[in-house]
Amino acid sequence: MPQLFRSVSGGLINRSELLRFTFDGKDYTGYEGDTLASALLANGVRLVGRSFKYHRPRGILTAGVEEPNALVELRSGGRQEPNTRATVVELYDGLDANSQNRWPSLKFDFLSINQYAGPFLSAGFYYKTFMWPPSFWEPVYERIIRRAAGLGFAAESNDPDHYEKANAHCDLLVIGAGPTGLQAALTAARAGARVLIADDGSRFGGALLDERVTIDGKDGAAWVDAAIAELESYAHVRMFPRTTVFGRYDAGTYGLLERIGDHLAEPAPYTARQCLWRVFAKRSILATGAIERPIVFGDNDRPGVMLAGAARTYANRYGVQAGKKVVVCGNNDDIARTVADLGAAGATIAAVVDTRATGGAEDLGRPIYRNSVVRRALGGQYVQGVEIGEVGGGISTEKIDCDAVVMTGGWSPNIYVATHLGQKPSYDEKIVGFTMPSDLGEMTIAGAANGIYDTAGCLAAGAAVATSALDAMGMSGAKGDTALDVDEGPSGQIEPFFYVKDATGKCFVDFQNDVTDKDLKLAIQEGYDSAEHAKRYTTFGMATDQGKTGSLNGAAILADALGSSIADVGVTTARPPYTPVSFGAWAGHAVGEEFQPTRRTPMHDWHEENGAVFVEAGLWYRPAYYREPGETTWQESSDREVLATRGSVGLSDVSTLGKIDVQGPDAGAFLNKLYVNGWTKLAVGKARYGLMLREDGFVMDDGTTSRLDEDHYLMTTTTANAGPVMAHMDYCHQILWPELDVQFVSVTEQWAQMAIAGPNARKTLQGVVDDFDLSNEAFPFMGAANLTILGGMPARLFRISFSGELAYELAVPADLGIAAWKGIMAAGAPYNITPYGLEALGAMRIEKGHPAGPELDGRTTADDLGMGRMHSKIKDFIGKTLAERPALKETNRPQLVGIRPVDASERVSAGAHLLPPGAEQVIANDQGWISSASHSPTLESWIGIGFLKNGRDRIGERLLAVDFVREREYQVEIVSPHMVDPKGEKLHG
Amino acid sequence: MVDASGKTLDRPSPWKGIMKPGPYGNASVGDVVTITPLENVSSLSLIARKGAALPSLSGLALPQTGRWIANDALRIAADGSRQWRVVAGDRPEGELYREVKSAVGTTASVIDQSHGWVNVRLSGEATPDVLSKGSSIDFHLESFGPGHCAATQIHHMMVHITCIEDAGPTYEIQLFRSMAGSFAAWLRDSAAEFGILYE
Repeated sequence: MPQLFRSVSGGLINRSELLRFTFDGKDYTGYEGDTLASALLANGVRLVGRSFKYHRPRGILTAGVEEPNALVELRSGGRQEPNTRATVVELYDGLDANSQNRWPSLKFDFLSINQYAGPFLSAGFYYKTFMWPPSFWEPVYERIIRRAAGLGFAAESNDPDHYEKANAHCDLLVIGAGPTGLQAALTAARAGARVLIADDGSRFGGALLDERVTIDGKDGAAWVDAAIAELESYAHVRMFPRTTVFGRYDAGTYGLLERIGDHLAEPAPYTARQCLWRVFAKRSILATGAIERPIVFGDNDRPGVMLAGAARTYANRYGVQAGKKVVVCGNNDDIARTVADLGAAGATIAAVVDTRATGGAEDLGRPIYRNSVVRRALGGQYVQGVEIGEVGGGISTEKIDCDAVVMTGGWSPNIYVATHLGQKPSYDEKIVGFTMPSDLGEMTIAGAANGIYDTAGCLAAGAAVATSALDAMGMSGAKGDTALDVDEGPSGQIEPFFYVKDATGKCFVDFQNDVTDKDLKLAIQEGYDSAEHAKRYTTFGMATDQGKTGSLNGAAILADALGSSIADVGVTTARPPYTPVSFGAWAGHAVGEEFQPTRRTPMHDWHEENGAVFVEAGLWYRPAYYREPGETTWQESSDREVLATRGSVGLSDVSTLGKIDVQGPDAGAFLNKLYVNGWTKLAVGKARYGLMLREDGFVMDDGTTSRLDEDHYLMTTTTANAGPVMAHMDYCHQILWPELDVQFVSVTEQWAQMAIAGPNARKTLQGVVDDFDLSNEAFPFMGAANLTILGGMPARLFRISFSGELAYELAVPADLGIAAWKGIMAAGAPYNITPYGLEALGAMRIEKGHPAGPELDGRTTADDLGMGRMHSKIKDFIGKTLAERPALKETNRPQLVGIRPVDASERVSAGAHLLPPGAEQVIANDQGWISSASHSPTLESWIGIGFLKNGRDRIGERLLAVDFVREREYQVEIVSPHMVDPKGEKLHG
Repeated sequence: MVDASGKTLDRPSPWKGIMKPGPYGNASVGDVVTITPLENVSSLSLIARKGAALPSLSGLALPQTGRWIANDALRIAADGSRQWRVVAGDRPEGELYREVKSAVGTTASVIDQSHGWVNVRLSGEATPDVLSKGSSIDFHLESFGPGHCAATQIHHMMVHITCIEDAGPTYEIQLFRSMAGSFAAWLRDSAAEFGILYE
């Protein structure tokens, strides 16, 4: 298809590089250097999308990131990306783009009937209409509304590309590489500052690429090339094109999104598609330019209605005509340069419509309508003419045929990023726009973002603010050339004009959200009488563009409706990100298996080689069970492991338990404060079970802590709480008791630890220890010792038991873990030693009624767990006071009990609630819950432990267990939680 | 596994099986990041007791926060306020611990971490860029050059980074043993664009 709207020459495109692309399945061509928008316009494609609510035909309004209309879906499969702005999508060969929010086609969209229902679909329509019955909202109304309104679709398969995050530091961050930013960067770079300059465009230059301007006798683009070349020559300058500074955060921290591979069909090999940067800058300069405002008139959203600056950009940078026969309208001096640039690109100017009675260029050689406005755009899927009339006249006086309307309502400084820390912009009548104070602490606003709209002024401002920033950082040096000779068209004179009153047709203020002048007036009528309230009621200023184009127009309409001023109404708050950031970039490396780091124990490889099926416990991979040939379910494997351990001997990897080495003269005193029970009298060479409370009196964690020397303890924690307990101890030591002379550090990783459990544990261990007396007398229950095993390997041995069996835990330095494990397996071979995993470990601890994570869930007290007597009466400890609260001392609190099904074949399920038989199944009748459940091969039944109100006095009672999630109920009997070896004879054996 | 003197134990490398030696990623570009896993490193935590003046170790005065100091026998790196990491090359099991413990007496607590921490060396021009993908430290050699060290985080993993020398530049990283696999995965991803040589 010929590019009928491409001018014969000109533009910064490479006409020798023809690129093919498709839009809605149809083939087109463009040139290297085009955006999707410029290429579509070159091909005469104006209808690009459908609007959010009314499904009205929409075209291309802008040439930049502020585009509210031309939202398209790119690519397909896992790389499909919705809601991208065609105005910033760089064209590449093979680009596949589609329009959105239309059915069955863009030209004929069924839901465009919505626009005729406009009077009913005004702001607040949904809230008022879809109220009854309330139960219909989520399942019926919301779904229908969401289907009707909306934008594109996300990819349904995994994104094949890689995303990254990175950090950077600099002295000066320059945000925006137009004339102001480039001159600031050059000035700072020449003085030796570490400069980072970022611009969201594919090329540095900003407006110098869009406008016809001469600097020191060179055209703008040539001056930019020279500036880039100089910046590239400095090792201390980092340049980030295609990079948006999307957020400003505390203390000179900024969020940047670098689009590394978006302009390519696929990112280069080994290269990320996008990188999310966190930049730490001593100073920053906001040189983001300005955003042109539309004028609100009837049907101002017709494809072919475009901002004047955008039309100049298409003409000057891309060699593309916005139309063949153009009406130029506006309220400021940009009219003249627009007429000149569009004329030079080959367009005919049908008329100039200027709201001003005087001023501006007098002789443009075209019909000029002064004191006049475009009241309405005519046409359907694209503009075919305009109705014009006098300012404030109320009627249309003339029609003019045209195929494009370009409008300029003046420029609004682009200060979005500056407002992210909460400061509010204020209205500046002189420049007709909202501004921020130029000095914002570590950030300075300069150039067009500060209301300076001529190139010479921007260049001078860039140099000046960079010099100030250098001074503030105590840097000095060559300050660069500040006085440059600039030649460009006139600019500056403006007369405020925001919207046509009493226009016919729909007058859009916020194009992306389909918000009209009437919606805003309605919001005021309904009592939403501040800008922020009107925003919530109408969605004005929301969505991905955050109302970048029409926010001041909206403020003006609100001000008039309120009888107030723009300054008093203000603008709504904009928040990061300035433009959308993909989820991929936020995730970076954190996807798939590496979503979080994984942790493997020293014996991991052995487990893997021996049939272990792993389960994630926190970040750790732990063997859940070891599958033997012929076993088909986890329960078969777990039952075998339990029976083998209880029958002879088992071996389990417990390296994941938290281990904290606590030393120092006050180590015992410190433990006394952390645990409910006492530690200073624990003998060297002994272990003790300890229970820790939170400050609020509930149980935090438990574990066994041993005294290795007078001033040396080894604490163990549960796997899940290792980190939180360490952080708790740091807090306690640094904040509560800094006077204690205690030192502690995590040694979880230093030691490979394994539990040897079962009647033959001692005999097995005898085969590995070097000259160590394991007899019950020499090394009784709760003994702890240093020793060597396997002919000199250093080790620590603890006689502790989670399974309830005669059991030991042996620890060796981690790298030696596999050797020790294999040594024990060999020594236990005569007893048919069996490795067991977390399932068997869980079954055995439930059989014994030992609490673990599901019981230490932050809602249970020591007494609930049957350990209230552990509370020391003679010392203070964390949680002691609040554990005495009446609510924690109530006799009717849920207490730990054992659960047996009345029918032994019934499966007990964790999460089930306990209710009196026959009682109505409502929360008022809830008596407790089952916290852990397992199959017990020892008892040949499913069993559980749980919490029952006043449970210790209710042993033998029968209750109904109701599992609301699995929709099951079954009879259970309440028993003691110690269901196997209740007297603990085995572990003392 | 124990030699005749009963002092040396054969320590299998914690890096075993995590990455096969060879080139990875964009290695054809030439300017690769060289990754060298370090084996048989002895290391320990040294934490000063309250108010105690610690002696020098092997003639090295203990460095202030953020700095390290070394001689042929030891490298001592600050790990926080009055807390250090002491690292030595291949030593018999427990020897460094016993040596330092006897040197410091009751002025400090000493905790052997030789098996808990794994060590890897990174070298090559792009290394600061790779590390910047994980940690927010300013790796510019003027800010974090030879003599500097820091405890920081990379992809949720606690790491201790030491800038060894500006030739390369070269860094050593110490991290928890259990996370070696995830760290290698992060490194493979993050250094791929520059190319990797895993030694």
